[in-house]
Amino acid sequence: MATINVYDEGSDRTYQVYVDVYNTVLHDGSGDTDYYLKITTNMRKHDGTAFGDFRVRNLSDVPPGKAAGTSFTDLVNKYIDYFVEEGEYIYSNSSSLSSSSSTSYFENWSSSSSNSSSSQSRSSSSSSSSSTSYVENWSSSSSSSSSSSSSSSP
Amino acid sequence: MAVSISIYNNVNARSQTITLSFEGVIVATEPMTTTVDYFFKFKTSARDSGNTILPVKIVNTMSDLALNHAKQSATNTANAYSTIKEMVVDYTYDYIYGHTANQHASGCTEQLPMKF
Repeated sequence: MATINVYDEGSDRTYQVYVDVYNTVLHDGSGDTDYYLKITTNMRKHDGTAFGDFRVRNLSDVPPGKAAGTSFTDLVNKYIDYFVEEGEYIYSNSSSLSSSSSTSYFENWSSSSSNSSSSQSRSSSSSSSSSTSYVENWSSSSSSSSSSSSSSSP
Repeated sequence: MAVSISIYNNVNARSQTITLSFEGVIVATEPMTTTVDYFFKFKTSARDSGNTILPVKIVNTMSDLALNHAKQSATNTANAYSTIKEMVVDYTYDYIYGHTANQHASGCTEQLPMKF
């Protein structure tokens, strides 16, 4: 699993984005199995609601408004950017970036907000744990493939 | 968490396991230049029929095909994988059955089949 820490200086809080691979038996009548990435975050939207879980089956399964990814690195970065752009703290008063005490990698990027110079830093780490698999209900409608086919869990 | 792929051999009733994980690492390409790369990693403790440890496989994009990043292993095609599932199945196939040198004119080196 890859865990990306996103630090918001304005609130002095660190959020996480989690990316992991899953193997699931589809609950669509086929009994088929699928492999996919599940991308989640503990960030909140600016209205306080949670982001859904995003399931990714190919590089076209990107966040709303984003072009298809060219690699898995590009894909993950698009999700991070989406969470940051749609996250609650983009409306906060954070204004400048400074490095924190994290020991991991940091990258600065500008906010997409035109009237704010807010910025965040992000760090990345990865870890592996004991493998497992599970069975999960799966909406058959989520199997459609398009640039906006990333689906949120109920 | 990672996904464990079990392969059962009916002839001698033995199993082998491939572990699939998604990871992110910091890559330092030169001083003061670092990037974060995210990728799939296939790893197995199984050996090939010549008793050599099978290599770790890294997949950065859907066009990182199993044979020398140039061709799919199960079929002679240079098309990128259309889904993560298709990629996983082809890499697993390649671990199990191995491939000959330059299979499908991919420029790959020989890899013997998995030993059970």
